[in-house]
Amino acid sequence: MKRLNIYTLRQPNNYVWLFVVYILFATNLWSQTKDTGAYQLQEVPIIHTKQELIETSKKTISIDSLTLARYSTTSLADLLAGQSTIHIKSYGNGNIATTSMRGGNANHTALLWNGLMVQNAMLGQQDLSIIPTLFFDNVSLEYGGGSAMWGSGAIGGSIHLQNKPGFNQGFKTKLQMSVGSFGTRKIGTGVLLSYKKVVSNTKVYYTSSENNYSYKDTVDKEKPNKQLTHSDYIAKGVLQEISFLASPYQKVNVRLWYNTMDRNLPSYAAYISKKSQEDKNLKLNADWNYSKNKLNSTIRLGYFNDKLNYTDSLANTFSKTSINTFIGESDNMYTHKNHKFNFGINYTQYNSTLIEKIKKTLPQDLSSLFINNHLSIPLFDTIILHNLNKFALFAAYNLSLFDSKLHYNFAIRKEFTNQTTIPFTGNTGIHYQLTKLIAAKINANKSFRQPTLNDLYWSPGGNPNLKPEDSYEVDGGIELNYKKGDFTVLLEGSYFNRHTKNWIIWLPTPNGYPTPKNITEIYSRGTETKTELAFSKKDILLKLIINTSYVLSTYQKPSGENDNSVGRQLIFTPRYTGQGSVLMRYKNLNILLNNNYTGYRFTSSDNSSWLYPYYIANLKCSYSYSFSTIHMELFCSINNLFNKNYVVVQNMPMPLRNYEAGLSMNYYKPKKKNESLLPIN
Amino acid sequence: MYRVKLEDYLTLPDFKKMKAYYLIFISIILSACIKDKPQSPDTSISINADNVVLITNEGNYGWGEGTVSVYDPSTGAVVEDYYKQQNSGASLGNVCQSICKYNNNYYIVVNNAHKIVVVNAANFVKTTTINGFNSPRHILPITYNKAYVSDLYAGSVQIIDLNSNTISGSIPCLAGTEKMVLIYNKAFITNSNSDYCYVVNTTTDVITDSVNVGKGNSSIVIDKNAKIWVMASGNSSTSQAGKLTRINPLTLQIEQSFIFNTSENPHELCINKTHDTLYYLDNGVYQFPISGNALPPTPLVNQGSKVYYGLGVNPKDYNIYVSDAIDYVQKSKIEVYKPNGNFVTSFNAGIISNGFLFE
Repeated sequence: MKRLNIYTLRQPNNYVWLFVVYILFATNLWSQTKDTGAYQLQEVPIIHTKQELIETSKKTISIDSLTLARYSTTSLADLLAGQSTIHIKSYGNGNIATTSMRGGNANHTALLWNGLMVQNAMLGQQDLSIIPTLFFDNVSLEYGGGSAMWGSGAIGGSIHLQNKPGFNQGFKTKLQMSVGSFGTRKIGTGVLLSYKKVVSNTKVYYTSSENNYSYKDTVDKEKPNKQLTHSDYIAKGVLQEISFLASPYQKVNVRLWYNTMDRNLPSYAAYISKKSQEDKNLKLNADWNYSKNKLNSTIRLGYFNDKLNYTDSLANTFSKTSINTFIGESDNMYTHKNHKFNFGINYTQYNSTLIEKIKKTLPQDLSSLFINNHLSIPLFDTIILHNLNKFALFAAYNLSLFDSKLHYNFAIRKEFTNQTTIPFTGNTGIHYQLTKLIAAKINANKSFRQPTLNDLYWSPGGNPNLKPEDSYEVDGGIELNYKKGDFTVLLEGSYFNRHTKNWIIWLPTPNGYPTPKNITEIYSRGTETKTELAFSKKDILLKLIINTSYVLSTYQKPSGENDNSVGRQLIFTPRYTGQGSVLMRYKNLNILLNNNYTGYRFTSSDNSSWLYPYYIANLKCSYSYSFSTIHMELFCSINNLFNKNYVVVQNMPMPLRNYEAGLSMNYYKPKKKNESLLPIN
Repeated sequence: MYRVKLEDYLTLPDFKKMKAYYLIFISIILSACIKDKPQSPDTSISINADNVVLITNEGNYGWGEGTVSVYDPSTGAVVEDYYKQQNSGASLGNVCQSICKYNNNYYIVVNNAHKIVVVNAANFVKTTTINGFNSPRHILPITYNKAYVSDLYAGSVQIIDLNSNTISGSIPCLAGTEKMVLIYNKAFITNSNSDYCYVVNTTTDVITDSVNVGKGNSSIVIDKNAKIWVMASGNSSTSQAGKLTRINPLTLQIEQSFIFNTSENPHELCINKTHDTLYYLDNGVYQFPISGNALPPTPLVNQGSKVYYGLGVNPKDYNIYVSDAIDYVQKSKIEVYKPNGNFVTSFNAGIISNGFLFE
């Protein structure tokens, strides 16, 4: 959305974009909360201080609200798999999906919700398949290391999810329902009450799916046509957001996010599965923002409870994990002329509980167990509790020179924990507008990843002596912005180069179980391009977006003398990914055609086995129709348009061509005098 | 960020000035790309089935594919996935646990796919699949019609009918059964969850007795004196020491036992051609004559930074085969040593090689 702002807000007479805003009102109410939010700058600046200070010198991608609206019934995993070059490692439709960004693995991507780190500290990663896209007004991606800003885990990049309430918009409500292939039913609703000083935004969704899709088993030559069983799921959740303007300078936001996902996990390799997983996530977030004159202060509080219950009765595994996270942060920005200073503190506490039950199946006839008068019924019931406290100090500085042509930034962060010593992390970068059209950026950062609670304390094998992973990254890019008449062009090419030391891998030990060690070193480097071409005139909008990424991420140090992985590509990390989408709007018709290409991924560290590339296209359309204050929208999606048989992860087939169709009804009662529609700035 | 002014949009770019930037931009995009398509391994080597070594490779649990590699010691040729080659590209499935030759068939136990794949011994072409297991580990042929299958999670040892290739019954016991041997109509079945090794009457298929051989017993061999040796790994988290035990299969008396340090994890007990020397893994390859009075203090082959996972001794030439699983996610390195510990050769097999069958 940042791009749109530049194009739109700087041109007072741009009626085309006013029309776009009008269409947004007419077609999508949820996404527009954000758009109107952007016009509210005169009241309370919604500044995510830290992010704004640094991101000028980094590569960022913001998913525009029109695209976001097309994914409002899907998970974040589907959104990012379709609309970014992040490799989404999906274990099948509705199954676990993790990320790989810039040649890192799943725990090298940070996930932030309104500035607070939300990924599971036990696993150090986040399953994106349980996060609904619906809940967020803004999804943006920050490429490269960002520990100086966000802390542990931001090595490959960060995903930012934001809620941006818009004041003074009136009453809006929306109900959307859809049906899809494999017995999928989705319903979602939203109610926005937006007054001058108070906003309440409620979103609720419920999704259920049999998810019994057919696939071609490339392993089984005799009976390749198979249907998935034991793969159904139910996902539901609620988001409640309340924003309150306490005074012209003070704003309070309170948010509750609760979602659950119950799913059976299929076994693709075998004909039977008894695996199931239950996720329950509660996230509470409150922030208070004070902004007057040169000072902008925010206090953020977060409490999260993430439960993950995993059962595999065939393997007699019953594990229940629960992790409580408490975060308190004070984040302040002070502006003096062309200097901006940011400083703050963060306290984070994790409490985890793991209950592991391994029941050994008992025979029907217990007498057979009495052997030499010895009865043995092992029943392990392990309860493991762990605490991790973190305290962080951070500061950042931004200087703008030469009539804002040059921006220099510097950031530093130091964390303290009760577990291990964490080094200083930092970021520095320059953004320089070389000509009217071309800007160059260069950035360097030192980031880290703390060992996860599982790495440290897993029993057996956890290694409490692990050091954090350290990464050193330099990246740079050239950006071209051009606009003439109804055309806009954005081109960006970037290069990055990163060494990650003390990379943790689990290795076998003489004790018979694996243990994590800081043994590997990974060298990641690559190029990325971003291209956006847009044409808009009257009732036509055409937008072409192409993102590509080429990443070499190689092992640098052998784990043992027979190790043949040095110089080879990191497993599960594609070298080539590309994403292109065409967004078209003509009057009330919206079309989004999306194409994705993912290259070879290796499944062995010596690169002797691999998975084939896949190219997937999705088509999403909507048609809106209004009568009086009610706006109807019919939408449909064809996923995997060309019916490709593919896997992202070995033995985990993805669905063939599938469909979704639905209807959304919006009712909107605006405030009588809505001066906020006028772009001001 | 530099805010683009309105007039910027209205003026045409100065293309002459920009050339250099375009060049940089294009060169970034085109910079030294490497070809994405990997090279396929050569799998066209033909194997003389007379004098070969079959290697079971587990593949990664959950997502990998198990394979059987074939190695010809006379030529050094290796086919990494022999099953795939002989079955027009089909895969065995997840976690190839063990292989056994019987009745002109190979029985390949595929653990996580809950099945046993039966292939013709002459050409390695699949004839049938035996389904219905929970987590099968090893197969022990009892008669021409009957075999036992141990299981990690099922509370029983399965009895299979080798004519109909179905499960015909089960012997209830504690889950965690592992390697087995047959002698004097008795099957000795190890159990990694128990301190006991079971004794089964193979006529009645009933557990008649058990022998306390220590925690984590999972490998078992018969020596030239028809005595049984069982290796128990112990359990380091409960400070239970590993133990090597010699049992008289007739009387079920423990004749000898050797205790390891609690920090050790001895496993993969094997025996040589003349059935007079034992080999096992314990952070290195150890050699122990059956007449020995004390455990060897030093290994025959040092493990170093390697990760020894599977062990076998070739009955044709006494050579010791040991697999290095390396990092679990690449092709294992198989190292071959002379009985005196001298290195002979090494070659790559599949991922996580865990055992050897010598033909």
